[in-house]
Amino acid sequence: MTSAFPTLPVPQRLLQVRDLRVQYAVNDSLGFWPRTRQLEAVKGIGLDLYAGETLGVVGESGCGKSSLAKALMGLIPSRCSQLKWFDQDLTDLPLKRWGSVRRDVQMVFQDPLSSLDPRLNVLNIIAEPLRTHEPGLSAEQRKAAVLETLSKVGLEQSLLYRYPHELSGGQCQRIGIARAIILRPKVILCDEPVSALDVSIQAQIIQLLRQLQREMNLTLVFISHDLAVVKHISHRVMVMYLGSMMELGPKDTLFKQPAHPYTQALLDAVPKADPRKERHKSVPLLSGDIPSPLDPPSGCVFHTRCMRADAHCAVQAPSFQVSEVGVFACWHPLLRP
Amino acid sequence: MRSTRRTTDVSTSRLLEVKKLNVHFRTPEGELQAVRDLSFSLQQGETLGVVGESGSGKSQTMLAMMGLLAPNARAEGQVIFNGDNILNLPAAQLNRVRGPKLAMIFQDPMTSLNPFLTVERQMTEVLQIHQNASRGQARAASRQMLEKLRIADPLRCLKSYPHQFSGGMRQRIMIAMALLSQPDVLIADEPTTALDVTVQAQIVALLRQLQQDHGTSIIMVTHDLGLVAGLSDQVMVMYGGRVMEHARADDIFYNTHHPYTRALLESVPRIEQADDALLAIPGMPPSLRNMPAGCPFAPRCGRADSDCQFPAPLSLVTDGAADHRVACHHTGHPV
Repeated sequence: MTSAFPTLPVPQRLLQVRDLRVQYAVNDSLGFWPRTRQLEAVKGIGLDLYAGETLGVVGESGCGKSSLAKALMGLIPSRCSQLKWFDQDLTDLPLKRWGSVRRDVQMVFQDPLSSLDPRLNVLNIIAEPLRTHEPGLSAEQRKAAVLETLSKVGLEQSLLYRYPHELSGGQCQRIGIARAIILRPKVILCDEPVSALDVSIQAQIIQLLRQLQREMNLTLVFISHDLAVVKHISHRVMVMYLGSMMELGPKDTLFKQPAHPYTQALLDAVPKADPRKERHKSVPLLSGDIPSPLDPPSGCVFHTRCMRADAHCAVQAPSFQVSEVGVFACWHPLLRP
Repeated sequence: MRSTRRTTDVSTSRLLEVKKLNVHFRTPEGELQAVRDLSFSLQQGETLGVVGESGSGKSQTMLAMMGLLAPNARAEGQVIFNGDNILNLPAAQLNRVRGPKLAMIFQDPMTSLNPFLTVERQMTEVLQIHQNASRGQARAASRQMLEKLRIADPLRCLKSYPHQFSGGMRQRIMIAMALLSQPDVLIADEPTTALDVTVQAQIVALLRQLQQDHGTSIIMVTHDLGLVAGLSDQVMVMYGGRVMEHARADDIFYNTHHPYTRALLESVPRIEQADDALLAIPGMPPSLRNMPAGCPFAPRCGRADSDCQFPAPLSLVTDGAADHRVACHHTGHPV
């Protein structure tokens, strides 16, 4: 278990994406005349993903983390200057022709119950990817594969003919994970996989994901708004705000010495289970809400809420500064000792 | 008789006292018990944190205290507020207490605000009904309260409908509404669960400020131990409808006695910990339909033995603070 990617000699690069943009057309009609406006949910994100690592993605709601995951999965249309999964260039390829990438990249969704078809039983839910990608399998072979996967995610065989509504949230999420791993993918994108679960169940699912990662050599992208969970599971972490990447770096650096004021503000806002410290905490709070993505601030998108912002920040967006421990975009970064 | 009790209540400054509260539900499958023998007391300006997972009975306790239980529910015991047992009050009298004296903030600010009415209509209603304020007075007071909660442009806010606000703003409007009549006790049921951490920090700072200004007592219901740590004076940990541990906040965190509290502290990933050890609790919380006869946590507890077939009484710990109570057969020493 290595912790940070820069120390690895030659990590195998699974994903290479540059300047990824996701736009939605939103209805902005006033009165009779129809009118749509473009909402840019992801604005020019570039990142690499290396084999065996877990990349955490954090940010407030509406920052574009789910859109990013869906675009990387090819579930929604996006534009980019480069997109490469496993050395296959998909840059201008239509979503229908992604081919084997669909098999190798799977997703686990946030709401464990609503992401499962209520009319299918557990067997059919988990077997569905097999029907699509391996139509040659017989029913017995499919069932054997499902049983094997069930035991991998720590569920009993007796659940095979149950329906989602009969199961608890934790069990549903395990089934969501089973469905994602049955094709033996290389990468799993987890979109808030533990947010809807009880605290004692959260830890079980996190441990399961880590265990599967070790056993199957999986690469994970773990999206969450919960910084503590992301810190726990990730090797590298990316911080997003209003569709832009603010900072990306190895977990230890990012959580101990963040360079971006937004990362620092997020970290300060997390309450700690330590009454003596927490009672006398006096950190400057981020004021206000996240601005509307339909009407994003000029320059650096964070300048309206940033403690260190000056006039320049409102005019020009900062470009990425690359150091040996990650990248960040800020005119006034916090100093690292 | 009643007046003497009231004076003793004031002398010990016990604002709210809950004694042996039990909540039952009548269902087609028989009677289920959601809360068992819950007791606590709250002084003026004090904050009680109630921690528990879903199904632990924490929300039903609060609804019982507000007289808002579902029609098939029945509450037994005593909730003494200002010398009256709220559970037995007729509706007309109850309405004079809840709202003006006992206010509640709900978890989901979207579903607990009326989408058809403007914020002004919903806020001023409180004062017009409870304090016979005129429309103008009520509007002025609402505006002041919104300003206090640092809502930019309160006038525009009053004229808007709930859907026009973000989750954080809606929650602030809910809090403003609850505080308008300056309640003695504010019950907050998972007030920040649906919000981002930055907004959560704003709301917490706000509650702390309001408590300092008005001396409001707060009951904070949450599953987030971090949230409880900063706000609470006393903490009650619930599981399966029972109180597992009840103590001063410091004792809960630094002198933990109950295995469940310990497990909860260890199973939640914490940002301040460098250590990657995360100890998951095996199994899942019991449902009301098949609650274990003994200690509800026994099936998931590493220290459970044959004693745990019988429920453990909530009793004082031998080696801790005088008000540190724990319900476990194996707590001679801190876990």
